[in-house]
Amino acid sequence: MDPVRILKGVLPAIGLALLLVSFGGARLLSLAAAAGPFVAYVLLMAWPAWPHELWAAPNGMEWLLWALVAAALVTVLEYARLVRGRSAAGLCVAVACVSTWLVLRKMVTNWSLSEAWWYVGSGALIVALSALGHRAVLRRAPAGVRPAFLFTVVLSVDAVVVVTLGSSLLLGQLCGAVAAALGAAVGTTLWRRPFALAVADGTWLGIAHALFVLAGVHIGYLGWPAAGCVLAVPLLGLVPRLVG
Amino acid sequence: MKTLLLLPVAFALFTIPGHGDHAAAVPPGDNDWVVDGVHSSVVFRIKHANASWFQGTFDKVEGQITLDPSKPEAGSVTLTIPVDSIDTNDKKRDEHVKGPDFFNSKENPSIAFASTKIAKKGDTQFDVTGDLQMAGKKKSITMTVEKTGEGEMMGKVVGWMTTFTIKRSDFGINYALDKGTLGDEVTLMVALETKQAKK
Repeated sequence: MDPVRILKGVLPAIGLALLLVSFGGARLLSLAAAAGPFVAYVLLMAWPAWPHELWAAPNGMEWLLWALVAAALVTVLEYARLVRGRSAAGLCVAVACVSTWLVLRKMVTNWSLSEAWWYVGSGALIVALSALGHRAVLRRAPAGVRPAFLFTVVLSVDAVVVVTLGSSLLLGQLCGAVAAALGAAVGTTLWRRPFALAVADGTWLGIAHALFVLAGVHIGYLGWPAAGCVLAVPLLGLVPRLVG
Repeated sequence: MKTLLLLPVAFALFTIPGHGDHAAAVPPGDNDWVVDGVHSSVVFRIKHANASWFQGTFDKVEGQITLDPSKPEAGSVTLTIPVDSIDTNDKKRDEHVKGPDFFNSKENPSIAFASTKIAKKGDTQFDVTGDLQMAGKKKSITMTVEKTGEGEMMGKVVGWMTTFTIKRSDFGINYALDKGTLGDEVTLMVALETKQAKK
């Protein structure tokens, strides 16, 4: 794979994360994690269509980019305490379900009605559970950089699996960009005050993790057994000693 | 909270499509031809690394041609090529090309052409203009189609051939365009054998 293309994928995310986290701390990380893949997509493919254009001519990968933006905005709202508690969790589930539907929307036209309900329903459930699961992991995790480091590894594994087993370099690169943003944020602990993820970050982390794997299955050629294993990895974080 | 949770369900209920109605079939006439996929071929070529021409094939093609040589403007050509039938002589590469980096075949399973205008160009040649739909994008193109011959093979058969070049970037297939890793221009060579449509 061309190293210049790899750099086009990860450098915008790293730059944005360093900039935003240095100035605003962890509360702005989700924006970097959403904007990073967006810029990478522009450099590697083209400008993604706007949501109203995608509504008329759907494209799962471009909807995925907008889903990351939506997840980031929910995270920022929760950091700003404009939504909190059950409302935040409900909004997180709503974004997870609608995002899944939008990413799979074009393929629904190629599926039978029962297949559409099954794939969209199970997909929405997976993404919602992933988001809530990530929030639960972060709620139990002690403060510190270790959870962020472990989630960087999880997202990096997602990227590698999507590239090697899902047969999509582009999808893997976009997922890698999210991992790079998180990794860069972890890196800021080398010269800045300690960095730690909050429960709110579980929203964008869980949605990104599950949506990339799901896109690998439905848009790419990732098999369900491998996808299932990858999807379950973050749940190991519910074992206290792993994230403590 | 409950309203928020119901939102995606309501959204899906409104937007999952039903099955559309099918148009009524028109009985075929003497000038109606059906593509014989077994004796037709679609070959493409693209430049790799600014150096060599790489060739591959689509192993399936379907379609219909309606053409009265004395009145070509009233004719029509429709062709469908399933993207999953692409063959680049490497299974892993086939998956990559079918995937979201290029054709995005799970979202856009076929390449389709539908003519909008046919004009006679010579004794055996026609200029066929139509919409080519690929990777979710549609573009009007014109190609010169040559009638290559007529014969008998369990009924009358007619051969057609066209070669035309498109830019993949016109269809949003931009991956690996930089530095000429894979060229923008793709030449397609389509050779069709058609047999008379069953009445």
